[in-house]
Amino acid sequence: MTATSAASMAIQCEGITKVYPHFQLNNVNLSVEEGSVMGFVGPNGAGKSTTLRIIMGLIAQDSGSVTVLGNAMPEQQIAAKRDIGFVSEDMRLYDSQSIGFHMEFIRSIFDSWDDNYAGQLLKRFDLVKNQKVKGLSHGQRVKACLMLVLARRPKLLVFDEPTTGLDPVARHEVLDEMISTMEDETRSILFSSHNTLDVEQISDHITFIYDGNIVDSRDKESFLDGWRRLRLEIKDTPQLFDFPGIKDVQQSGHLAAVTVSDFNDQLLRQVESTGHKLLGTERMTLEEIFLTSVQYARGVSQ
Amino acid sequence: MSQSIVRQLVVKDLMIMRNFVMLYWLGGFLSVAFVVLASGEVASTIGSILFIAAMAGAGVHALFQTIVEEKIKMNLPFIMSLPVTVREYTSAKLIANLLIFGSVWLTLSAASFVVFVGDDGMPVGSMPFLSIVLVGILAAYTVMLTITVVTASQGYAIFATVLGNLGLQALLWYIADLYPVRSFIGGNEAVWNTTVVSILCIFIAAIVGMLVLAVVLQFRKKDFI
Repeated sequence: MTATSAASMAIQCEGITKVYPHFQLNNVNLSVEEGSVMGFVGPNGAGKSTTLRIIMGLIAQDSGSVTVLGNAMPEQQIAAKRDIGFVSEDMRLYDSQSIGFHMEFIRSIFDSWDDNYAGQLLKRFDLVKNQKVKGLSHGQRVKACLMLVLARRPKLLVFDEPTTGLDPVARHEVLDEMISTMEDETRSILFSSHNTLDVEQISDHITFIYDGNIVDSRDKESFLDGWRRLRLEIKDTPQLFDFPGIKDVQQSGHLAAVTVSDFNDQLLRQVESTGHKLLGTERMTLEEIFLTSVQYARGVSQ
Repeated sequence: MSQSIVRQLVVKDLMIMRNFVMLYWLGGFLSVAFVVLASGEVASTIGSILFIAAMAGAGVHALFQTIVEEKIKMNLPFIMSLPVTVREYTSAKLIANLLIFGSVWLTLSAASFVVFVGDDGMPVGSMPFLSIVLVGILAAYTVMLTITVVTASQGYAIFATVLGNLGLQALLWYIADLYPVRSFIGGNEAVWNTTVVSILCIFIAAIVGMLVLAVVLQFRKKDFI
């Protein structure tokens, strides 16, 4: 995505750093193209929420630049936030008030509020306008937040673990709605999750973050095509493998499983030229790719 | 700073607090009525305690509900995801809380002055001291408001409440014992001498100072959540 001009970027973070006493965000570069869905994946405490809060202007980066919808953050956050819809897993509406109260409140702030669409979403999410928030389940609360955000039709949606803690039905509804919002091709989504299934389902691009560092960032197909597990019968033991992009090696006797992140035909020829017998190549799920990436990053950092 | 968003945030807090404000108003008016209708020193003392309790209740309740709970119950990410900066948020909180407390304070203060003017049993000489008490309550409230807005912490808010109440009571005991105040309290004429005016000016300066301090400290914040 680096080749794309800044003008068509919904989000562009360059070298952002944030230092806390026990955590540090290091030189984070992250770009989200207009009209795309970026899945932001990392374990708990990796820096996902910190990054998203910097992007939202809720906290200020120590260094580096953040541009959201053409606005420098956090300086121009008012202009940016007019067009951003943000939902986070820990966000709560006012318990003592009804969904209708919140709808009126949001409508009073945003001219773009679409009453018809809000009504459709209420029906689709099975929400009752007069119901007090304190009577809602966690899934209903997330859906209410989503409704409040979507009905004002923002250009950019930023979701911080929106599906965490949801039952499968609610999760499905939330993801479906996220997908349907992308019918508008100019709309972009950045959403963080540690659920790789959700990310795999709706993302165009995926970024892995671990321990405050971006581990990998590319489009989904490139991730799924590039990562392979090679099953090898090796000619000698112990064996040092010297292929590019090796992320993990599991060896048992003459059998080895080598995980690579940049699989291609040239790599296959290179493997065969070493005299090892290639027993097969396996595609990996995003979860396996994520876990291997994290383990690799952990090994590198230690 | 967007005045429109500040207005919407203030309206939102007033709507959330409206039922409680009504209750505190009602309690305050009942306390004034109690002073008027029941005779004797005991009735007057009970009425005064109820009167101050209604005012303190309105102020403290609003601070906890609109600032502390908003943070504890994670409403803050919802609000800060809107086109709001720390400046707008702080301004809205100061305005909303001053409106909530101020409306109760103003109406109850007015009611108590009306009682003094209209009731023959009340010595007019105590009106300067009553003014000191009322402005002192407002000053103590702004201390609580500033500490709560700046820290948004339950612990500090409780500390501010205790500090405000005890500090004000101690100060009022001290002021009531000052000769230029004490010697005119029971008289038939309200004497606005230099001591009384100076104390009122110090309280008003403290009110303005605390509000400015809240704004300065909040506007310097880079991280808000």
